[in-house]
Amino acid sequence: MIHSLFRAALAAGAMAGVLAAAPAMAQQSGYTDGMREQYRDALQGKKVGIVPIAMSFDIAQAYVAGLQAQADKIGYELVVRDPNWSVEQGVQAVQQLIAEKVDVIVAHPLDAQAMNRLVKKAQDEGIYWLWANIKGGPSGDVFVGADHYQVGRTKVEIAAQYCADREVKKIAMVAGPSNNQAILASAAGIKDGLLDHPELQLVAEQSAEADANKAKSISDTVLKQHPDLCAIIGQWDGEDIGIPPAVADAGLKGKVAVITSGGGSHETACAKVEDGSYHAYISHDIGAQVVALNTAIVQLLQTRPPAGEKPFAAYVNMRVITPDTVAQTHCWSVAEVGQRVY
Amino acid sequence: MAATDTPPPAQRAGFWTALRYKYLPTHMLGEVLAKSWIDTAIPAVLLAVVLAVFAVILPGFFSPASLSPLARVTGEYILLGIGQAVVIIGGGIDLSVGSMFALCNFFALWLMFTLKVPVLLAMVLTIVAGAALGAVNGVLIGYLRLRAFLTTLVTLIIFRSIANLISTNYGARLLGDYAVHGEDILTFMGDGDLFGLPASFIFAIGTSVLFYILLTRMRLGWHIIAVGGSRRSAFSAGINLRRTVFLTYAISGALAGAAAYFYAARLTSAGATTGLGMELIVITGVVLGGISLGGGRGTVTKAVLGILIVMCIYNGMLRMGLESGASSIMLGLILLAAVVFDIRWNKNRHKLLNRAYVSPALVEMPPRVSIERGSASPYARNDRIAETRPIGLGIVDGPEDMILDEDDNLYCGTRTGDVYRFFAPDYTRHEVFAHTGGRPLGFALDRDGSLVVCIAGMGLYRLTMDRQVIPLSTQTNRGLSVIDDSRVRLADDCDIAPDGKIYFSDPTTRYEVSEWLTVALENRGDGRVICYDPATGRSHTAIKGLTFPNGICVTRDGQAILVAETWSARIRKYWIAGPKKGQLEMLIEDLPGYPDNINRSSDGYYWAALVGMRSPAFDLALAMPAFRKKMVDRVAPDSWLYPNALMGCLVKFDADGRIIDVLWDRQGGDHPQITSVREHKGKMYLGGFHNDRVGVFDLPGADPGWSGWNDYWGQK
Amino acid sequence: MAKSSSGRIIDQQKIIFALAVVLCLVFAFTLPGFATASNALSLLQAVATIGVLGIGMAIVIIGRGIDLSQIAVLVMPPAWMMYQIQAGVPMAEAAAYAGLAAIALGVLNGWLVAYVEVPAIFATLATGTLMYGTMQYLAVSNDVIPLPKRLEGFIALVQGGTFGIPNIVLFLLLVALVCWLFLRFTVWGRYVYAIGDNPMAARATGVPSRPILVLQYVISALAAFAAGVVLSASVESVNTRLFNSTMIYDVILVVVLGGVGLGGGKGSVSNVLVGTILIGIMTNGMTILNLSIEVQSLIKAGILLAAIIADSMLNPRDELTSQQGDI
Repeated sequence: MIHSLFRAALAAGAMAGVLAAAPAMAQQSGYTDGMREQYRDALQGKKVGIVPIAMSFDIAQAYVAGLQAQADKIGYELVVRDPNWSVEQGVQAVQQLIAEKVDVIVAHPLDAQAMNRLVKKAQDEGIYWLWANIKGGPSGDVFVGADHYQVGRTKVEIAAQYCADREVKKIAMVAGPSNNQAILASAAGIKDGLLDHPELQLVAEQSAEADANKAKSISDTVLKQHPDLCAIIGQWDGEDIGIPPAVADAGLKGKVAVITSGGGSHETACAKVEDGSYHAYISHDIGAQVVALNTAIVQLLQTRPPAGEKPFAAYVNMRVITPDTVAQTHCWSVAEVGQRVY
Repeated sequence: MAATDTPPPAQRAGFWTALRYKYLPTHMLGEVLAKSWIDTAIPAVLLAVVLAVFAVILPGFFSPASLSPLARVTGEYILLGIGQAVVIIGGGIDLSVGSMFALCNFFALWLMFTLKVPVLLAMVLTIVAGAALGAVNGVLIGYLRLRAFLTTLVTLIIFRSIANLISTNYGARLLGDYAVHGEDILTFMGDGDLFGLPASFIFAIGTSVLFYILLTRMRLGWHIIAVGGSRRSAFSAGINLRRTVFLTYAISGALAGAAAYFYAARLTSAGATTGLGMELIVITGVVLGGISLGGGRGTVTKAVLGILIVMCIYNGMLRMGLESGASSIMLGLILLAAVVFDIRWNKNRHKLLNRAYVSPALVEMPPRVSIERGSASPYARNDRIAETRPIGLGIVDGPEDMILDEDDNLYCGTRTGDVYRFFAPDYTRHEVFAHTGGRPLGFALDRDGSLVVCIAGMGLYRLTMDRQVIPLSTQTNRGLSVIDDSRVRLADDCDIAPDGKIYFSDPTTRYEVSEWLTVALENRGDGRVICYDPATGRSHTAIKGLTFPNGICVTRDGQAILVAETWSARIRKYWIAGPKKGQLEMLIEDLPGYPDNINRSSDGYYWAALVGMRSPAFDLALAMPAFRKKMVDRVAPDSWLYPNALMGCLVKFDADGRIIDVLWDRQGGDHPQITSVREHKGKMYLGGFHNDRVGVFDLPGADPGWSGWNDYWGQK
Repeated sequence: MAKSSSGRIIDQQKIIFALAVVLCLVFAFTLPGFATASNALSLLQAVATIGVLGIGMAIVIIGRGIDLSQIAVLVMPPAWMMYQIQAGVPMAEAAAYAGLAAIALGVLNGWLVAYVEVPAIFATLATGTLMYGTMQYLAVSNDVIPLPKRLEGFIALVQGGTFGIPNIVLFLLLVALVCWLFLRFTVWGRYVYAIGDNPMAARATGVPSRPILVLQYVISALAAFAAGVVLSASVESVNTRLFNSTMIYDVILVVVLGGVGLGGGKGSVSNVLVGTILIGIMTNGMTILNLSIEVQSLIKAGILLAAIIADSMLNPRDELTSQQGDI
């Protein structure tokens, strides 16, 4: 279903591209505004490569759909290499892109550290390096993504608010895979947040290794031990989806706040907040990220600064989705992101 | 006139049958399959196919910029593959390589980035650390005798848990300030080239050579193969099983350490997923290369080829940008295909070889001449060999040929490899004159009275009267063929030309002596006559492409040799001197039976022994190669249709091929098989490949003073 | 049969059982909230999936095989089923298709092992990867699939309880009962032991070895599929990334820990339950102790290693007569 939607989005994007490209090609009247030619010449026929974590989840699909739509519209090529959750394959994919001399590499890495050396290698070849949502040691040329540290702090703030009127302020944390720099950053944020709120008592901190089932059994046990628990903070919606059933099992739905974060698609975020599974969901707003990434590509290829000279970051706004705000919040879907063209 | 029976016209072979069974070198298939390198050739061909496919569908696959990163990763996997191969050849399996790899990666990073250990020293220490991890497996499996699969599964979890712990708690700090002691060397290890080849690849090639030598030339390697092949035999042979098994795992660990070092140098990543699922790729690779699960079979070359195939496929698929799942499908299919092929190949290779090796040729025999008793045919049956007296009854076993010296002592060979001497005049006393070790067949007497003897399985030898066994010719020149035809396989009969050159027959280059009947079934003409030149001490192949050349006799004028081609039932004449030198001509082409040894007679003619008679059924089978092929495919060898080799006669003919006389054995009771006849001083001596005696009878009208030696070397 | 062979007084199963009892007592006295009925149920609930997988695996292992494709069946056919239901296919129909896919894989495994004579380790390793890849390529494009709203009733059933016992625990007990009856009282079940004990002898005495082998793998695949459906309902999503985890090793851990010999012919459903409960107790206790997941798996693997070593010391294997190629 989602798969076919995704395909539909691509097809729609391609169609939009054809429609949009037609007028851009027409230039009989010789009209110019001083920018149209530069824009076209700098971008047309270029090659942008993207190496996501894997193509099998919504965030990566949204990136590709959004980037593809702009590529089709302007007339440059987007090369997608799917390492399918393998750090090793991801590195190989980037090496191949460098060998093929693409113009821009968009990296959305599982383990950003493994890419560290490649950033410089790419820049030596004059290739611009864009980090998407997860950032490694070298800053590359652009970072677009959520401020994961701030996300972590915010989660603690939300928990503190929720627990404010409780007598026992116990919270638990279900941690994500520890090799991901985004998770590490948010863990640091949570840690610092807890320093600001010494009243919160962290009774359990367990890693579920990206496995919803493990998240559920951890939550089960913790809730049995601490029926008076106030909140569970998760780190990645993919595994945290196992926490609400545990809360429901324990008969504590509505009493224990589940706070998580993630890409913010409709199914994973808004729907789950609406049905009361999550008390709060902090969205990384992939829709906004796609716009920022597309902008960065357009800008870099037109201005052509030496690669790596002046890195900049574009932190997207944190969207905190709670039962109170969910009605006004717009969660994205892959098909929609596919239409967001710069 | 003599009645003949020929195959009905419908059975006459057409063009395609002739092409298929006469001119196509189908026999080479079996010969290729019999080669020991065939196991390695299969993955090599597969690799070539994979490369060719990617070269077509992925433009630029072979560009240096594209191959270099691939080679860099492949170098690491080759190291792992060799380690895995050593373990599997030793009869085990190592699932924990990926986890050891991850731990070693951390260790290398910790040494270089945190402790600032010099980069090269860190490499050595990482390999040692890997060996130590492997030694844990080794102790458990080798010394505590746990099961390899389960044990390495557990150590996989243990090592992986430790790696995860390290990654969680120290991962972020491990790299510190990114500075190392020996930045240039590290950059070379992880990113540098030498002669266009990445450092890891060069290291892997060096390691491959090292382990090739280890496995093929060194004691430890042989022990590993022996233990993997059969523990019981290895134990009985005194090999220390436990230590050998232990070492295989330590080696696997050490190589995982080496690979991890290059990985660390390449990526400097402290990620927890390092090496996850690596064991699957590595095992797939080595099995694909042809390392047999269960142990005992496999080489380094195969392991490297298998890894190369898997890495090329992986990389190629990544570059094709296929949808998620495609690479898993490919990996699953490849692993499955590799294992199924491995199982079926090992199980059926010998069957396949048996079926493919015998490659019957199309042979259309000339019409058979009648042997009807009382008919006008020169071969008409009679009872001229009426009474024979046995020599060495029950003592000799299979005297294929015999010869008598000037003192009338009789020499003959036996199945057990001895040359017996029976003493004149009554031949009741005997001794083992010499022991050869092979199977002595045809004899000739040299000018100095020494014996020249063809020994099947060994070659041409001289037996001096003081019982020395001297090799004369054991190999000839190498021709253009798949199998090694330089070895003399089945020296059968010989004779000595006036100039001292010795001509001897080597009936087949494709079979051993015990399979002489199978040669008849195949009838492809793979025999030759070899000439040994005592002046140079060298041999060369004089005539090739003969169908079981057997008897050899130099003509009286010394200008030619007569060559009996047993399974073509004909005798040919090869000129060795004079104006026709080098020519091969047909002498008798329609013998009713299969000629064996040829010797001179006292009245200026030649005696040939027919070892068996042609039969309509077998002649027909020869004209129907497809039938014989099917028979070889479907019927057990002991039920195959073989030529008759149990009824024969003696044929006297002249140097122009005219039949002078034919002597038949009345019943064939005493001499079921006659492979050789020799006239000496008025008596005829009969030998047989399967007989239990040498027979002798008086030949009426023969010159009682004539002897072979005198005829050859006496004053003329 | 399952009686530990030839007069062993102490075997792995008893060691493990004793260990479980000791651990239980230690945790009961030291950990507050451990020795409560609700914790016991939650403990069982947490390992129910592993238990069901373990029972399927045990049948294969008793028949001298191993099924590494279980995790692929655990996640992929249920994931496909959810996709179909989401796309509007009737629930029963979707379940039937997915179930057929699982059975097909079981048949493929059995065929490869029994007829093509591929070692079970490699046959199932390859087919599992194949199943994962094929499903991912054709139908399941996402790693995490939330359960469709239409399945609310089923979700409630799985997450609910009967007489205070969670239904998921009852599910485990039901599977255990059925498999116990199969192994203990049916001719085919006895054949499984015969084949595991001595395949050659079994064949010589007329046991239809090959069909029985196929049956073993089909049962294993069905157990995995059922476990997968129940698991997805209990966490309200299917996570296909489980395929890449080390979960299959946990399943083998449960089976071997309970004392089902990898050599075949030995063990029964009760062994698996013992192993499952021990793992449950350990996981539960360690979670209460707030040990990290890495330390937990380290300790679990350590205990398994100790159990294997103890078993090997008590019942030494003759390395000379051990089957060639039996790794």
